[in-house]
This record gives sequence, structure tokens and C-alpha cells, in this order.
Amino acid sequence: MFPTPIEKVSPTARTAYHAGVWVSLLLWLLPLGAMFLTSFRSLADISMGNFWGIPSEWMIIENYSGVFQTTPMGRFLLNSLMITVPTVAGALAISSLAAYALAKYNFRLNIVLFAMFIGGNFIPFQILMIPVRNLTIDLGLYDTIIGLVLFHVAFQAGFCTLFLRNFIKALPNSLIEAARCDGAGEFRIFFVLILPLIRPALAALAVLIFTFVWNDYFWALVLVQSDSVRPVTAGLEALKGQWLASWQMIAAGAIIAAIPPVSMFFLMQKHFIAGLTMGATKG
Amino acid sequence: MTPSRIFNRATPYLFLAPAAIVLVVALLYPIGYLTVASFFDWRMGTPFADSTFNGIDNYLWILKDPNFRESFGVTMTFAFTVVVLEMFVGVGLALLLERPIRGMSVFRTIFILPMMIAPIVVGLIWRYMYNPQFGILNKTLKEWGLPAIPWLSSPDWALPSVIIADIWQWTPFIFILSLAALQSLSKSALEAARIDGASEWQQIIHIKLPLMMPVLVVAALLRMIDAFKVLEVIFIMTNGGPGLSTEILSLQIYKTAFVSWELGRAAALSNFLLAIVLVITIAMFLYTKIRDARLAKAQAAAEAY
Repeated sequence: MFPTPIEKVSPTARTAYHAGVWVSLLLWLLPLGAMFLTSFRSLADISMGNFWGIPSEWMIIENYSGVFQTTPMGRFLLNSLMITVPTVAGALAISSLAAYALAKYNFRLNIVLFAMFIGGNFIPFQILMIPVRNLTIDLGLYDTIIGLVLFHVAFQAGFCTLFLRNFIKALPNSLIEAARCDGAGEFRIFFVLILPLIRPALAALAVLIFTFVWNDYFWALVLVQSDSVRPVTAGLEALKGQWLASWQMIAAGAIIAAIPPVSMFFLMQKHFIAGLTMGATKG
Repeated sequence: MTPSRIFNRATPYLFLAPAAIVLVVALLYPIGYLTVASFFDWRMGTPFADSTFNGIDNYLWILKDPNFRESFGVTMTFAFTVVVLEMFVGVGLALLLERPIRGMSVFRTIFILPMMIAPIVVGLIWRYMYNPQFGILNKTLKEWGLPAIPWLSSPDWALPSVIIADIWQWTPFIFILSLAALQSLSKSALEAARIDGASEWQQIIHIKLPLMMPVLVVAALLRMIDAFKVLEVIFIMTNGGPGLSTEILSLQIYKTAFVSWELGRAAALSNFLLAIVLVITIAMFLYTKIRDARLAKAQAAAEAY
């Protein structure tokens, strides 16, 4: 059994090893823990400098409900959801179609189009801020949820297509040929045969794209200016001015914003790690 | 040709059409636009149609601009430092934690959390930690009788502070990839080394690390590409300051475009950053191609033997 199971090492070394592991974990969790504790505190505690002690009064309900009552946080969360879910669906829909064509058909433009998708995976999208902003203004999509969804889909399409292409490429051709011999049309083959087979890859991608898009702040900053469209990340930044040094509110707001992607991760942990590893090693 | 044959030929194009259209509109068109705009004296207030062509002036201006040179230096320092440190910590932790011990899955799960959190939230968390009045770092230093550190307010400390936050968020990425690579290593090589009496340390240096190398190189290059794109965390923590001490290129582009509204110059800056990222990307593809070719050769040789 390799590597040596820790049970076979001397007791002192084992204790030291365990201690090291847990100390490094705690060190890594320190910033998150600080934020969590702060979100339970009263403002008095923070200005008194009570950071690590037990909060002098527990303000959990006050702080968290305060976030929703005094700010449009509920609206921001809803906006984030309305941006993220259609983006995930849209990106997966168009990418799975494109990935299938690139993986299983020989046609003249295959290489050219493939190169375009690779490019779409690696361009630093921030540099496109000027033309994209002007384009949304020209199309009447500036400061709309549709505009954000459209560009998020476009920016994720390259990554999704590459990811799915590698996955579909590994499926045996004989399956598709058999279906063709049985007289199935090309679209039927895709929907009835291919889609069910790539479900694990789609699940992994869905988790990844969900977190990417939910966590985006940059495009919300460039393409949005009103509260009715603003997602939770940009909302948090906009509220900074209102909250000033009320760190217990900022902490509560930050935790609320982090809950959806983190719970998504806990629910679909296996898919998430599989997705990251697949994407990085084979993409 | 019969209609059905035409339809058959068109099928791949039909499948590709939606994605291709989206990519052309949202990617190719903006890149073209940017390239053209970088040759114009285009500022806020003038529509692009009225701006004057000024050749490569924008690029010349960039090369002469001391702010650009400083920002370029900051970007390079930032990217190389975070990648090197994240590789060391991430790979080191993966080697340590590869052993089967109790509670490992909990550790892995929790360790990945920083990656899941929005960059803006990461920025807020660290700004809070670094806060001179309310921040727990200085408070703790004071309790231990150590002098306070001007984390984000001094030009000397701001960049290291930002780097610490990036390491905190992205080491888990290297960690997951290294762990996956470690677990897929061929057991027979390790077994052979053990039988030959290789110590733990020798196994790591001579067997594990060389076998992990392909994944590690790709992981490092991916992080490098990302490090050139980082914007949000720094935007929240320092907004580039104090002075230009943390103004990485992507932030400078943003400011040139939407704060001073010099759109032509911002476009030229954008193309510069694009070129850097392109070079790294091509390096990565060449590396994987060469690696695959070597592997195929080795395999062919093994089969012939």
C-alpha cells in the first residue's frame, strides 16, 4: 500500500503530522472564521476590538434580517439567480450541440471553428470591456439582464465546448453508426443517444459555470447601472458606501452572497472536483 | 445532390451555428473593433466615427508612459510571485495530505472553499483583515507586542498583501490538481522504488514530482494566464493604490477606459495584454503537443519491442 499509511509511522511523527494538518487547516480558515464571527457581532463589539472572544451580544437575527430590510439585497439575490440560471442553461445547450459537431463530424471548417473555440477559452475577457459595452448600448441591451446573460453565455461557450468535445470524442463511433443504420435522424441521435451519455460532464460543467457566473463582478460593473438588474456581487460593492464601517453588516452581506455557490459546491462536490480536474488536464 | 444529402452535409453547421454566431458577435467582433480602435485618437465624448486616425501613436505613447512601465512591472511581479508560491504550497500540501488519514475528505472540502467564494467577497474579507482600525491582523500583532503593519496603506506592503490574498484563494486549485495527479500515478514505479529502499523524500524527488510534472506545468500555466486577468480582488482591496503599487495591467486598462475615458489608448493597452496571454497560451499548447508526441513515440517503441 503506497504511500505508507500513517498508522505505520512512529507515534510522535504521527501526532506531529496530524497537528500540522489541522493547524494548516485552521490557518486557512482564519479569514472565513473571522468574517463569520463578525457577522454575529454588534457594532460595539467591533469598535471595542472584541474579535476572537464570544460576542458580547448575539446579533445573528438582527444583522442578517437587517441586510434584507435596509438594503435591496433580496432583489440583488433574485437578479443573480435570473442571470446565472439562464446562462448555465444557454451555455450548456449551445456548447453541447457545437461540441458534438466538432467531435464526431468531418467537415471542411472543423479545424477553423475548433481554433475559434480554443481562442474563446483563453482570451482575457476584461480587455473586451469597451467594445462589449458599446455593443450592448447599440443593441439596447445595456443595463438589462438579457444583455448580461448573452455575454456570459458567449464567454463561457468556449470553455464548455472544449470540455464537452473531449468528452464526446471518447464515446465510441460505432454507437452513432448503429443508430444511423437503424434509421435515426441526426438530431434524434443527438437528443436520444448523445445527451444521456454526456450527463456527468454536463453536471460537472453546470456546477463550474454556476459558480463562475454567480461570482462575476466585473461584467456587472461594466454592463449594469441600476439596482433592478444588479447582481449580488455588484450590489455588495454598491452597499459599501451605505454601510461604511458597519463591518458586521458587510460581513453578513458577504456571507449571504457566498451561500449559493458554496452550497452548490457541497451538494455537487464530486462533480465540481471532477470538472476542474478534467477541464485542466485534458482541456 | 438530393435535398436530403444537402441536409446531411449541413448538419454539423446547423449544430455549430448557435454557438458560432454567439462567439462571432461577442468575441470576434469586439476583438476586431478593439484592434481598429487602437489606431485612433478616440476619447470620451467623441463618437468613434469622428475620432481621427493616429497610426501607432497609441502604442508609442504606451511605450513611453512611465505609468505603464510601472504597471507592467507590478503585473509581472504579481503573476510570477503568486504562481511560484501557490505551486510550492499547493504541491507541498498535496504531497503531505495524500496519505489516507481520518477526516481527510472534510479537510479537502473545507480547503476548497476560498475558490468558491466570489472574488469581491474575498476582497472584502481581506480588506477587513487588513483594516488598520478594525482589522484582526494588526489587533493580534498588537496583543503580541509586535508593531502594526500598514498592510494596504503603504506602497511597500500593498503588493505583498494583495499577493497573500491571491495565494489564499487559489492555492486550493493547485492542490486539487496535484492531488488528482498524485492519485493517478503508476503504483508500480513507487513500489519498485520502495523495494529498492528509497526514502520518502527520495520517492518524492525522483518519482512523484517527475511523474506529476506534465500536470504541474499545465496547472502553473493556467494559473499564470489567470494571474494576468486578476482584477476584481485588487479592485476591491486597493483599487491599484497606494500610488501605482498594485495597479496591474487589467486594472490600468479599466481606469484608462472608464475613468480617464481615453478609449483608443485603452484599446492599445488591451491588445498588449492580449499578446502576453497569447504567448503563454501558445507555450502551453506546444508543451502539451510535444508531450503527447513523446508519449506516442515511447508507446510505439514499447509496442515494437
